[in-house]
Amino acid sequence: MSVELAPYDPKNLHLPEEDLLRSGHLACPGCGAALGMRLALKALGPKTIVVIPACCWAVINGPYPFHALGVPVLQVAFETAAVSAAGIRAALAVQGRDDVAVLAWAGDGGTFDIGFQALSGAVERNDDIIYVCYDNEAYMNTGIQRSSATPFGAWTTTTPEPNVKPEPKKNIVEILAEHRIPYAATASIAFPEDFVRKLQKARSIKGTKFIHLWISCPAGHKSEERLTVHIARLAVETGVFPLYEVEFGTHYTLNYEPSFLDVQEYLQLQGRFRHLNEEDVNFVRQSIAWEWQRLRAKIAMGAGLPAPPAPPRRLTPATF
Amino acid sequence: MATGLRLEDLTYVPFSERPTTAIKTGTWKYVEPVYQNALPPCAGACPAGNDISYALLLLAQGRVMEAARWWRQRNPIPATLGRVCPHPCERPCNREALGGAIAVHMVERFLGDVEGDVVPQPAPRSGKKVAVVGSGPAGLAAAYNLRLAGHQVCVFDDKPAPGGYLRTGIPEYRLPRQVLDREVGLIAHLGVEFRQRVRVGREVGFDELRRVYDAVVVAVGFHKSRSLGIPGEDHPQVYNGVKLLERLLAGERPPLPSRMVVVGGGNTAMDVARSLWRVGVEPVVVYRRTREEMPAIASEVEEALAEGIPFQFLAAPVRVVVEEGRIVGLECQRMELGEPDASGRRRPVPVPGSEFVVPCGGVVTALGEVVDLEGLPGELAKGDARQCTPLEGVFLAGDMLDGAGTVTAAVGSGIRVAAVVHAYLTGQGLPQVAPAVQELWPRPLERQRLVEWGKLNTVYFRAVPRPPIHHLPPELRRGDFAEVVQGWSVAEVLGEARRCLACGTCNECCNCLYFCPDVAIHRADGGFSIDREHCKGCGICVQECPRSALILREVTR
Ligand SMILES: Cc1cc2nc3c(=O)[nH]c(=O)nc-3n(C[C@H](O)[C@H](O)[C@H](O)COP(=O)(O)OP(=O)(O)OC[C@H]3O[C@@H](n4cnc5c(N)ncnc54)[C@H](O)[C@@H]3O)c2cc1C
Ligand SMILES: Cc1ncc(C[n+]2csc(CCOP(=O)(O)OP(=O)(O)O)c2C)c(N)n1
Ligand code: SF4
Ligand code: SF4
Ligand SMILES: [Mg+2]
Repeated sequence: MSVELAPYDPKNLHLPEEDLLRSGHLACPGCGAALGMRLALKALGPKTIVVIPACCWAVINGPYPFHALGVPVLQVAFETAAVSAAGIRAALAVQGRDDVAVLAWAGDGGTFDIGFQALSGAVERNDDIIYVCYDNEAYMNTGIQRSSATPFGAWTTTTPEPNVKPEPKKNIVEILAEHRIPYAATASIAFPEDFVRKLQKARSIKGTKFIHLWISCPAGHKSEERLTVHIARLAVETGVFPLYEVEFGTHYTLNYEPSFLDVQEYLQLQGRFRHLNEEDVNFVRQSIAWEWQRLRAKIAMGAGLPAPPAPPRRLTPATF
Repeated sequence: MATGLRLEDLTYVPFSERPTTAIKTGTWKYVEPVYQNALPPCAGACPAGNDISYALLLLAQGRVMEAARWWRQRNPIPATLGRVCPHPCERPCNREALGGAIAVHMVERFLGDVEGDVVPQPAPRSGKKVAVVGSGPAGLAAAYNLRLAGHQVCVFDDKPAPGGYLRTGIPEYRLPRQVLDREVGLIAHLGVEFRQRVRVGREVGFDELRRVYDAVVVAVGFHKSRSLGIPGEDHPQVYNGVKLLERLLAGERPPLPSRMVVVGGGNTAMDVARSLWRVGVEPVVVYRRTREEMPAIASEVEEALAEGIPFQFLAAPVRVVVEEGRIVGLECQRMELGEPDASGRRRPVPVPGSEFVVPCGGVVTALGEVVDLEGLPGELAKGDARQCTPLEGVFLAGDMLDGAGTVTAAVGSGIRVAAVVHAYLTGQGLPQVAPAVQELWPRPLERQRLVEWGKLNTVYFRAVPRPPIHHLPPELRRGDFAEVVQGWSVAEVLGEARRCLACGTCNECCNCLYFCPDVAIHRADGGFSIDREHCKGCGICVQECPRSALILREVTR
């Protein structure tokens, strides 16, 4: 008996098969940053140079003489990810190679805080790099210190109970969008196809591309290792972390309409939020609603705008 | 920098080039994932123990013949079951909330109808002989499985043709005879001998059977009818339901009154009423409780209503009204529902002074049957958990053992008894209890781990509606016994198989593969393997598996 039917495809995800992350790396069990890198290299492929500043990933990559990636990695000083990547790009340009992607891969501390001026400079110059900030919402490598990416109410070793962090998280994508960056996006390890697509899109665009990747960190978030993807998904589904992209700094596109589950679903799985009382949680709920109002307003505003005029001059390698 | 210095000379530049795969991070873990198939709710609820999810998976992949063969591994009558089973498998189906339960019975029916090389090869001859008494579904399943195990099997039955109530009770508009004949034929083709019109205890002595055969399986069902116990019941126009059905289904068309009351609320009552309606009689069903309490399969009640058959609920017969030797009506009393009884259904209690007469020319009783052990030893009245009797080498199956009253339960009982008899004949010693059918599946499975809704990771599932099932329009049903429920096309069945969530069985969706932060899961022949040297035991694969086909277990070093 034979029947004509679409081929059976049981897959939930369709991702590039090749892996350039190797086993044996030193990430904690259930590390979202390791999964993020695995997906990033699936997206970008072997013709990639990775620049890693001080952060967990500098350790994950392995102690000397080991190396966890199937592509070259340059480990650089904490505050220099963007500018080091820009330098590599310049060197490649001098060699006449534009087939290699340069990926700066930095933590939230290295992006939102200490590496920020270097990043801002690179974006202002529109250096042709892909910058991924994998955001575990604290300085995890050095023992869970708060960063400006740490969300309201989170416990860290520098915001211990009862003085948990009173300030909300800094909105990094918006700040970069205000630089008129060609491409900025948020992404999640729980939405691998979306993340891979965004990286591939970034690769096809000239200039600075920024991707803000939300990841779970079992050790720092005090969450169960097996829940790493689950919590990342809840960050999206509760509206805490919207998935969207911005072109030219003005054209916002929402990539996923969440189901807006109650944020408690997300908070209760993480020990770092254990102490939050009803008032705190209500504030979080209100903040989510307010941020979404703003985001939707920006989407609407961008939709009515034409693309900005392209400047007639740009630096070429020959003018270095 | 000094001139002439080459990069190779810069020995002080730390340059890592050894892959981390040399680092055995697998030693960090104290729990580890293992692939483990577990019991889906459907199979857990199927009394015949069909391996539903695996067959659906084969079907989803388009492997129709393999699926059909898989379904017949133990179950000899899927084409029959798919048509007559009340499909308890569908009630707990995890698909329910996402477009409706999988129509397992439609798939079973389709697979049962697949022709060709669908029956497994019997094991080499064991030299042992088994007699099976009764050719109902229990006897058929016992015979099939004993024959597959290599034994010589002879089935004794008192009716003209095999099938038990499948032939004498269930009408052709639900189970066409060529479907039943084909399934019986497949069993006969395996080498099972059928000796019909032989009543054990009359034409053949029970002791003689025990002498000649190494083991005897008794599955004689329920064939002694109960009576109403009301005046006028012995009138010749008061018929016994199963006996009347048997005659009608054998093709007899006795002269019958034009209007008849059918008393009862079970399958027999529905089948009698619907068969009478087909041969031109106007039936009225009288039942002492309400529709909710009817033991008949709900869809059979619906079909009877669709055919326009009137029901008198909450009415109990008190007297057959006979005038001048002819029945003119059945006097009934109104009932109301009181406290629940032992069966959990609310007990009907009579309303005093509420008598009324349902006019009719004849009455059919369908009140249920009990076992008929005439000519058989009294020891057969009761079996134990192993389906054994006090008589050495004599085993029981089907309705007479458990009174379950469904074909699927009878099949399951026959499959189990075959395993017990096989153990007995091969000197393996009898088990403490007859094995559950799932234990006899030819694939490994953790039966204790039931994959209920809460064990699924449902974010990966989308609602897809269950396709409609087509019925012969009621206006085309009168006058003959054409099949009412229409089968599904192969495309419909494959689509349905793809709706199955494969609860508890890996379908290679690849979530585990893609979500491992340690790249410790790899494709292997027909599935995946876990690189235990590098797996850190985080459990993301277990969590993200949509269908609970992996578990985390403690590491034993
Ligand atoms: C009218 C009717 C409709 C039904 N509809 C359904 C339905 O839709 N779905 C469902 O699941 N179930 C239905 N049932 C119930 C189902 O048919 C029975 O539960 C099932 O057939 C029991 O199987 P069994 O093998 O135990 O016995 P049976 O099917 O009763 O078979 C026993 C056989 O043994 C024979 N026998 C008895 N004594 C002897 C003897 N001494 N020697 C030789 N042979 C003997 C009998 O004549 C019979 O052929 C229905 C039952 C009836 C009566
Ligand atoms: C200039 C400088 N200051 C401090 C450090 C110490 N240090 C190394 S990693 C790190 C934290 C990095 O945090 P983040 O960027 O969020 O990455 P994570 O460790 O969370 O992955 C710090 C403070 C350093 N290496 N260099
Ligand atoms: S025998 Fe009945 S319960 Fe079992 S799979 Fe078939 S329809 Fe479902
Ligand atoms: S979805 Fe499939 S495996 Fe799960 S209960 Fe339903 S039929 Fe069984
Ligand atoms: Mg960090």
